[in-house]
Amino acid sequence: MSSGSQFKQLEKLGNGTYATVYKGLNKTTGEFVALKEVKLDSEEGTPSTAIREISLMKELKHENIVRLYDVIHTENKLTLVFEYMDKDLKKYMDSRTVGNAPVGLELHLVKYFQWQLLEGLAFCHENKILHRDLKPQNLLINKKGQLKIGDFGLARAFGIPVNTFSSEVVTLWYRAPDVLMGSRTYSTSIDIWSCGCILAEMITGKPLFPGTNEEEQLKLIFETMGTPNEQSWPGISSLPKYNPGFPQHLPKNLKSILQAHCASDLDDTLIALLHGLLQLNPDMRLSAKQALHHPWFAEYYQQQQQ
Amino acid sequence: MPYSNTNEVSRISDEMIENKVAPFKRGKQVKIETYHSGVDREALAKVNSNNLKKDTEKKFQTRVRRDNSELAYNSLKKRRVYKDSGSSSFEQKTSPPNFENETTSYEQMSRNEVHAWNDLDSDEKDDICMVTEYTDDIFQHLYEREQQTLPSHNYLTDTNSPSYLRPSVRAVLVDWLVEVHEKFSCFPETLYLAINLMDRFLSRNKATIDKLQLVAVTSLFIAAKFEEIHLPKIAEYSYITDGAASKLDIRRAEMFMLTKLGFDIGWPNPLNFLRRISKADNYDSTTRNIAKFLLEYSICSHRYVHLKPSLLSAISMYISRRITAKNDIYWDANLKHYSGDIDPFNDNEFQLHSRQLVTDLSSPYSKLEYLIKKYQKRDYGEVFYVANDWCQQEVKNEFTRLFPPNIQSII
Repeated sequence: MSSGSQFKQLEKLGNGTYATVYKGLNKTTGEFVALKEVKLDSEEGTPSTAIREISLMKELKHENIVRLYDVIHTENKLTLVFEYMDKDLKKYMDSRTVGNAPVGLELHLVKYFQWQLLEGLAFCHENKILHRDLKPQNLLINKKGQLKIGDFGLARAFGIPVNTFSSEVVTLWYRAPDVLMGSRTYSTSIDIWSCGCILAEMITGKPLFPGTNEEEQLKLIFETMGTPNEQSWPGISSLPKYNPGFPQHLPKNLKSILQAHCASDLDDTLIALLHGLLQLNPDMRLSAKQALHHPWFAEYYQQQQQ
Repeated sequence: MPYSNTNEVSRISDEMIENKVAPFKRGKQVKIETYHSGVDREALAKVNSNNLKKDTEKKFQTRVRRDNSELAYNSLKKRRVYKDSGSSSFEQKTSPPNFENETTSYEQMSRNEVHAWNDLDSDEKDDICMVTEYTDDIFQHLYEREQQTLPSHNYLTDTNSPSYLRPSVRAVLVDWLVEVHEKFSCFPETLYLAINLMDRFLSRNKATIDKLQLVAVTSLFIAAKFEEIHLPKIAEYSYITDGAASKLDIRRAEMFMLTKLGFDIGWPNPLNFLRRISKADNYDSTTRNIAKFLLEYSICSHRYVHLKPSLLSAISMYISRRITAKNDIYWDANLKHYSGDIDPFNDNEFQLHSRQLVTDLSSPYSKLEYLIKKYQKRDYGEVFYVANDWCQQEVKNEFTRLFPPNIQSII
């Protein structure tokens, strides 16, 4: 722990899951940092989210994960000192909106961001950590085009086999159908679904499944991806919130849906990757490692091998 | 009372580390039903502390509410107890295994050793809960982490250590944690993490006798925040100490311990290793249930505080496999691989600790009475009796079934 006076607090950057984030200046080094202030609960003490975030992030040192430098305890709060990033992906995409029309990112940038997201996520999963709240707001970017995963407030370590967890995780729009139907034995696949939603959102500039409640969220997913059944997803009927009366939909053509909001031509390998990430059945979803080896990324892994 | 100021940390540290706090307040002393007739916990708790001068010597005891009060049980209603699936009943063998066969079995083991291990993970490819794709990476990470998160030394056996604590005092604390942990219906992982946090803290920081129960309850408080989905309330923790630790005490101790531990809470839980080895044992539930008892006993015992969780898990599985004696194979290439490359027959340390653990279990430590009682229960397959009987015989027979005599010469 270092002393709080080492940092000068500048403007507010935003509100995290359980904290307020400010821009800060390290007076000793002249570097910018992000200062995440966590209020201690007057009754229960240190929030469990803070304990998990700090201890998990101490284990995660990777170039696509925001680095935690230090923790400072002052009076009734903890200040987490993070590496400073210029923007989050949500703000960046919003800044490109023309009038009311969202605009997607250039496809080469989409690919570079998605690659970095999967690299960071694969590292989390190899270190037995589930993020559980991936969304554009939690992906931080800088002027060099780097992308880093941040906000591990909902993350947790998993044992093997994975224990049952709370199903109240992941912001609605990025929440996997199995979790929406009350599954508590989710695993790394929960983060992969979110990656699929984020990929589509980067292409079009608008969220793929912007539901307002759990019921509508499932409806939106099924309308596009088709309504699953026991044949396409063995075991689905035993999920707590499975309803045999779900309106039946056939899968729509994802390519034409996205193409309508994207200026450049979408190629089939990209759509194939999206389908791999957005499998309704969690067992069928790609892993982060597999996704990194998908043909759409061929230029990256071929580069790495050289 | 205002919760804190900027000097908070140093002020708590004075209280906890130096010996200048008001004398330990005595609460009502509660008699407890014990598993050995005639012994009561109060007597067991009469521990003279080395930390205090003769004239200020006090009894060390933990205080716990034992009535089935609403407060303590509210949390039960919403929490599910983790149970391993599979039957836990154990059919005791009437005749001991035939010793003649064991020579061959060891040869068989040696022969197996020549072959490479089998990839057992691939069978579980379709089970997402097993995250097979990442298993090797994860365990590599866990083997590194367990080294980083060991207590600095065994502060219970090293009498020259500045943080030396009498083993009996820790036993009372740990046994109390086992009891509270069960009352709160937390995951088994939470208990092991709490004990690890307590040992890591106490091996580096000297705590006065009157603060030890606070350290113990705070360790559980922190561990639960890391592991659990539904958290017991701080009021329940305070209540369960019967007034020994106020909510404010716990909040202050929490921040102090977190700071001293550098917020480094994540720890390779031994159950991960146990389940991993169990895979090479066909997930035999009887063997695993006995191994869980051995593992929990070794974690609660003061002797093995400095040993890695993966080693304790392997020792527990090895002994348990001898107890159930379901096959003649002592250890094979799969068990070796899935235990993190542990080879009992070429590992003197392994053999030494295994003999010690068997000896310990032949006459369990009287201060771990609640732990013993727990494993005498039906819910836990009453595995205590089986293990205890077997260990008594082994000690009598000079460990001939644990490590057959011819093994020495082969090494």
